[in-house]
Amino acid sequence: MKIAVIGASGFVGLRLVERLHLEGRADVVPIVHAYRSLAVLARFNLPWRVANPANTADLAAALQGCDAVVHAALGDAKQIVAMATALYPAAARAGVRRIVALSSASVHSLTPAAGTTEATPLLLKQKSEYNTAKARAETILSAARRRGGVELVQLRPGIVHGPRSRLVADLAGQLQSGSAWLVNDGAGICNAIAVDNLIDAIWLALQTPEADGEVFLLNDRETVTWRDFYAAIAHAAGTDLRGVHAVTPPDFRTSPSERLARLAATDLAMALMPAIPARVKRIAKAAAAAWPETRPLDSWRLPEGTRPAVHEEMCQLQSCRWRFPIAKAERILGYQPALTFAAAMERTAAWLRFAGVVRT
Amino acid sequence: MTQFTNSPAPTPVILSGCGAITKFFYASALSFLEEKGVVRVVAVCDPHEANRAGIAARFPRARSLANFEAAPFATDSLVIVASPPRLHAAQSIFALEHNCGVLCEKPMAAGLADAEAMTAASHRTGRLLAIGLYRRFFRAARYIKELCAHGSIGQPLSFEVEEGGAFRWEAASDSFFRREITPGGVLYDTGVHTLDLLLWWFGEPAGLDYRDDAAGGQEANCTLKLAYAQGLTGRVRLSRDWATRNTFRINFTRGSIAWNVGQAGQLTLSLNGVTTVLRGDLLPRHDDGLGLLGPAPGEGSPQAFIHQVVNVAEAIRGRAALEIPAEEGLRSLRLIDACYQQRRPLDQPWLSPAEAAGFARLQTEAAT
Repeated sequence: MKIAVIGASGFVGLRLVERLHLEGRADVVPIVHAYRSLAVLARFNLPWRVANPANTADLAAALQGCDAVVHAALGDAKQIVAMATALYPAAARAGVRRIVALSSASVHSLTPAAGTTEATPLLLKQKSEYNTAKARAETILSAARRRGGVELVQLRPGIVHGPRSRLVADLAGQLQSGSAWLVNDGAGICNAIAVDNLIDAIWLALQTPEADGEVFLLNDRETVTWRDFYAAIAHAAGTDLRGVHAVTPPDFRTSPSERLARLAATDLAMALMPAIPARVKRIAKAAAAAWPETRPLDSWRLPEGTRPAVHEEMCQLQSCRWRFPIAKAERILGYQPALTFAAAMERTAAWLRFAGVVRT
Repeated sequence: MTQFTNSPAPTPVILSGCGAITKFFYASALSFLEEKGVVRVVAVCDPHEANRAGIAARFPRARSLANFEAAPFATDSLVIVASPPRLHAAQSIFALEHNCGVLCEKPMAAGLADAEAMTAASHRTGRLLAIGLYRRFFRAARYIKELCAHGSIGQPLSFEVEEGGAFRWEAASDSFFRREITPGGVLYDTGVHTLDLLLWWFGEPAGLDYRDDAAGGQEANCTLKLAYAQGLTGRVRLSRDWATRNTFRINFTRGSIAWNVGQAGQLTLSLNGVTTVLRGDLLPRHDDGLGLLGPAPGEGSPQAFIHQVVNVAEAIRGRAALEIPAEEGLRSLRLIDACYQQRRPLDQPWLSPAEAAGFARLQTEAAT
């Protein structure tokens, strides 16, 4: 089977290419958006292709000769929707049999209601533009499947962790520097899934006939709290949770820079942007950046330790009270998480040492 | 550093290659030096019109040429070869044979044999061939060189280098990543600079242990252990895969130095027996009495690039010694070649046994 991987240089895409190629499971065709994204993939002698995943014609040309495609590309909100719009017609034009698209459990929000399953309606208006875009992308692809002949499976993983995870590396750094923090003592549920368990699920989604047209929530086997998650990373980083700050979520307000960035991302602003002189744009950016977001530090103080940078999305994630079920994936895909959370974290710890994030 | 002198006849410069290195470094350095009357860009060459147009617009008096060989090769011109590495040998030799001096961007060539042919051409023609190892013009690199040479904080005992990060260079094609065109990955790219400095500071190693993760292609991660006759040992880790600390740390008998590669003019100095460290700018020494140091500007990569071009231009005119001749470029390529000859698999402990077996098979196949 010849499998194209869109977003082959990303965290999940790269691991998928690595697994499929090294285990000799399939012929892999990595697809990336820019030549620079080949830097790590170029370890292997593979027939990579460079294409814009948001351009139907470009993507169709890149998908020629492939039996299936896995869509694992990352992007901002606009790109997520544009890529979903281009994917299905491109796959149809190239004669691809099946699409496996990586969505996200965040289509149900970061604090899903108890009882949420795949059958729960998507939240198409969320505060997070990313989550909203992921939900919109799913609806675009599902609608295309109803009209078209290319098979489609959509996967909704939770918090993906493993080797090359930026989240894990950042948390390891925070735990080492004393700037890590937890909400509610980490009692919230972390819907964790090891990247290698996700790769197994992708493989099943590529091959299971009954999966066509379905969506699947995906997690590891165990129920993992955020405290468990942090403790495992702390252990890997050679530290513990004693220095972790206990945080009460603050009242989040957007800064002038963020408000300007959001304004600039609207369709109206994008249309008007070319007419605004570059000098005016620069001045506006500089003014927003210079706006004092916190009170200036009193010079008559001694330096304190590293302070945690608390952000809204992580606060919400850590407030999650619902563990997404994997019963549907078990029943239809035959998904059985092969790696335990502990075993997965051992692999991650080995990578943290390899990458120099953790000193040996 | 070589000082430049205003001249009624600035050195003519032919610039070959209008890719990222020219766009971000050479064009700005040459613009500055043109303004100062040190050089005059007479031709900008690149077969790709789109690449060439942006650079040519910065030098309106220069000819914009698709064909490098059509450039006006006057005696004692400076030809800057910043084209893809596979073209370095042919273009450099062509320019040398037309009585020009050459500044060739690193890596010196796409293979050791090409680099040796370039060096031989420089000797045969009697023309200067310089290699663009511009980090040697960093104040920090020169400071470390002097510490090693003079034993100011004792003899070097050990070093540790981590360099690289996620690859962000705007490659214009995939030729940079094709093993049949570019023989190596991160060691052949970033590693050229890293190994050049180590060779410059410490000399030739007596032994090495090299491992990388190439499995039919180019390495994205590698490790290198070096041992020297005088007892010095060192470890190098390079990556295109993941953020590193981008730091050189060198331990001497009486203290240690830490240098972040991104800070061309800054160092951290730790002296044995002193509980705090000193971090700061490296500035030229101006003794003005009590103040000792007068105000002087810090310098970064752009200034190092300018110094490099000035040195070659002045050397062509016989007013300075060439700082980095071809033989110096050859040294790092020879060491890289030795690494590839002794390549062993890099341990990737997160791979499953099936993956590890696949990796070993692919690396063995690539070697045969």
